[in-house]
Amino acid sequence: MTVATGDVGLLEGERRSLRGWWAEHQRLRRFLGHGGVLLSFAWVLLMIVFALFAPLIAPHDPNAQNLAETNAGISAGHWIGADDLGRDVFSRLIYGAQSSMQVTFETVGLALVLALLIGLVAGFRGGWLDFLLMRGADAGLAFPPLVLALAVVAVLGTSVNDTSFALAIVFTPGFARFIRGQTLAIREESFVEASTSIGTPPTRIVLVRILPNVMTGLVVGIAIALGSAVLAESGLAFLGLGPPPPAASWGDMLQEAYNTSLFTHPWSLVPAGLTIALTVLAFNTIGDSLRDTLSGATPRSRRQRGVKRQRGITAVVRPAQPIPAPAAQAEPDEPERGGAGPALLEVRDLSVEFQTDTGRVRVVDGVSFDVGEGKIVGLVGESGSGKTVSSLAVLRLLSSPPAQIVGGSIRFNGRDLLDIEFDEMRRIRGRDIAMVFQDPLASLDPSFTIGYQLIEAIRLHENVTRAAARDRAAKLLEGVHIPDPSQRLSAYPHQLSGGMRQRVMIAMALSCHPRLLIADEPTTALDVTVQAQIVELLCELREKEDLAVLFVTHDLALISELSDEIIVMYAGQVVEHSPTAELFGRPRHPYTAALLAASPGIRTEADSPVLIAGQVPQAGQFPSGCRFHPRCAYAEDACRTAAIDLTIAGPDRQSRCRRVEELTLAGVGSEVAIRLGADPVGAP
Amino acid sequence: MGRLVLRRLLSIIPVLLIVSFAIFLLLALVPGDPAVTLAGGLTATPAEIARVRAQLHLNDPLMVQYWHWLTAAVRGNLGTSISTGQSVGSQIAARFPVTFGLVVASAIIALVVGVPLGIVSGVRPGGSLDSGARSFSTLGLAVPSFWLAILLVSVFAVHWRIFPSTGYTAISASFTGWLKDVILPAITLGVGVGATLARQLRASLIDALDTPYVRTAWAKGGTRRSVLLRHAFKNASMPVVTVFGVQIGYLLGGAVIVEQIFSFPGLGTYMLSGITDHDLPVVQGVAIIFVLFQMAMSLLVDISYGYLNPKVRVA
Repeated sequence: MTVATGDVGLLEGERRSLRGWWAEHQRLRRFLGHGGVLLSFAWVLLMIVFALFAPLIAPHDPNAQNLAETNAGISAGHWIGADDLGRDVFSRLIYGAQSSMQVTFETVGLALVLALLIGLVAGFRGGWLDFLLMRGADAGLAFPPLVLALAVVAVLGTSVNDTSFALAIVFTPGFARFIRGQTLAIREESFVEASTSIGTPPTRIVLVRILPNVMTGLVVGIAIALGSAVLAESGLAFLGLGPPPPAASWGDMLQEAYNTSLFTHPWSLVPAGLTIALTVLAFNTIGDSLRDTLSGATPRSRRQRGVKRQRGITAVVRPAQPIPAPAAQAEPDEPERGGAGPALLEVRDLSVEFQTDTGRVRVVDGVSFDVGEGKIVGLVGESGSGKTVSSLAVLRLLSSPPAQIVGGSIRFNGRDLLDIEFDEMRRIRGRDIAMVFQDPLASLDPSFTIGYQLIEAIRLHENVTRAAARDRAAKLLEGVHIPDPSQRLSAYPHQLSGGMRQRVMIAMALSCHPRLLIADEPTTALDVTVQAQIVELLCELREKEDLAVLFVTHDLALISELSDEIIVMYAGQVVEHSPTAELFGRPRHPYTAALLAASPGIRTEADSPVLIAGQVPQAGQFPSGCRFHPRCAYAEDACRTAAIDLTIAGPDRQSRCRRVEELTLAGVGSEVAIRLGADPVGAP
Repeated sequence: MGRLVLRRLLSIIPVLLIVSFAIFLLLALVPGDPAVTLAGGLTATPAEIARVRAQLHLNDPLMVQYWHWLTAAVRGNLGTSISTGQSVGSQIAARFPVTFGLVVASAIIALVVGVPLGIVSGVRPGGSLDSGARSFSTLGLAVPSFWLAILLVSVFAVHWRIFPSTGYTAISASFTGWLKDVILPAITLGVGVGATLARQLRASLIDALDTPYVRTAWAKGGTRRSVLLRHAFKNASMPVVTVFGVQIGYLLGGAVIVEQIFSFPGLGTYMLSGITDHDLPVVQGVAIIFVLFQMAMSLLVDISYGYLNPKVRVA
């Protein structure tokens, strides 16, 4: 469904209100588009109409007995047959809707009024009143629901109003608790605080500010409660505690059918039961889709259409691979390597797409790089540049759906990781290529001890006893300088500090002596002092283990001390690729220069860090031509039209800038000071 | 862990006081003079009314009456049934195992149905097994237990004659007899709860599979089995346990209906007979036992939650 966005001569205000209307309309469409919501509404409406106009609609008197037609089948006179006393089943169903709908709506309405009273007062007043009311609600919830209703019915009696009251008592505590919680949350919000501070009386705040907000969250609960009330009413009637005869009720009809016709006419068990089930189903369906709509969830089927589902490995859908020509090595897209053999990891033309609500979006577009044996390679860029996605794609850790690798190759040790199946991939993960993630607290499983997680990492790849693995796990912790290693094995992640957790992650990554470590922003979530320790540890371990490292980061200052070469990514593409020293000395892409100027830890000729104007464009909204041109101080008209290729820009260097030869960009210690975005000094 | 249990036990006390007072008030709330009602309504003779008044301490102030009732109840004396004259406490003691067995069997059915369904649909949401499982749980929530019971009876007991339609064999008399009698009632009760568990497990599995720690589990070379059934499942089962605790109340309430349909001599049928006979001491006694039952079960659930969640256990 697309919307025409062309200017149709509307005033700004009109256009905005139209947009608001359209958003509402879309939401309503989504709500009604949910499986069966319209049908559910129709069914509920039908039941309400039955209840209101039973005498007009019912073809027969529901209590008119006709012994000549006992258990009569379906006929023109009796659309659903007759019961054991020859009464018309259809008419009795219609009259049954009376007590069912009356009790249902009375119950939920009454419970809502009581609960609003209790919940708003408790939440807004707080203090001892809150305590008392909430202990009362606890007491109500301590009863098994039906038992509470039965106890109240035992005292009150079984008329329609008594039943409603009994059931309302059952539903009130849950609602009251919810409303109190919401009220507490909303009370803290600024608009309510503002009202209080300008002296609005509390009752007015409750009625005008809090009530409408509470109600939106409550509608789902109401729909579900209506369904439960239908069940409860018919349940009581089934137990003989429904409205006294001769009033017809669904539960009672079922009870009679069960008592009289179970053995002789089993089909008579169907109409009343089915009616109850359908009514409950209708209310539940409305409630479920309200919940989905209000929480903004889109139906899964739509979001995931078109992406192959695979668990634990990213799906690969790429065109048939052309046999690589011998001349491929000379192509400019190929990173230059000083005549050595194949690198440990060779990523070529990697492209990754994500399925979104609006269609497929290419997040990584033709990325190529190498990581040589024992080398440290920095993968640098702002958030949204595609660096993390590229690094996760190497181990095929992106979830499918929504992710899908749509092109390229990832050769590790000469094997294309995009060709292999899950079982082979999982044997490479952790053993040959290991990974350390950004947030160690979220990345360690909170429910298992770190010992368990370390031992598991070892035993997934090596056939050793649990005891031997435990000894090795302790040694691993010792290797990352964790004191009391054997005791720490029985600690849970939440019991360790952030730095400790990242040390555990590193120990886990190195447990099987991998040849390549992919570290995805391993220090970003940590304190500055801890960051330095972790970097130091990584360097130390790399020496010891002779590891190659792909270090993903946005921190140029950090990577400058570590890496042999650096790959700079922007908007899903590699924009510069260079040995570290040369990159810092003389960047060959305006984006790199801007990153350098923006890094607080790096002294360029600019007096203080200069922020890069604008933002990284969102995937799917990349500008035409050079993707950096809207933010580039050196952009010319030609930069805005044609896509730019990665070209050779010196020994072992590449840049994706069409002005690479004419620009002299400022690096660290270079003579030209630049100020990006304002007045480009370097531009001719 | 011990402290967690202790705290939970202490928090029960105020709730229990309020509940017991509310249950005690059932008598006082009866419109008119409860003694007249309890002695048999308008036909009661003044002597009978006086006897009931004395028996229930109705001449004392309300709080004194409550004290009498409470101290007696704590000692296990829940009064005598007005209609049969039997001790309510001993009746409850005799009937409790019936209901307990039914609820435990239903809980097992709920887990046996709910957990595999939840896993199947949570691991592959949108797949054909998922749609099947989801339709099943949607239906399981909508179909009234008493209708399901009747349908099960008419198919398995009347049509195929595999299981008895009604009746109860004590587990001490014959285990297989008990099993045969309890299976249909337990399915009736367990399916709805199982459907709820499946929905919750599906949702929390989908969430868990999207977490960084599951990505770590894949990244270290985890097999599908180890990642899905160990890391994702253990974390996903925590909210399921909470939901299960709430659902136990529905099992207990549903037991009243199911016992009635299958003629089980349990607490539910006892309470219903109390209601139809206006035998309020019976209603009071059974109600308070139901509340205690539910509290004990949810305490058990809380303890198992503490076992699953190390943050609760250690804190």
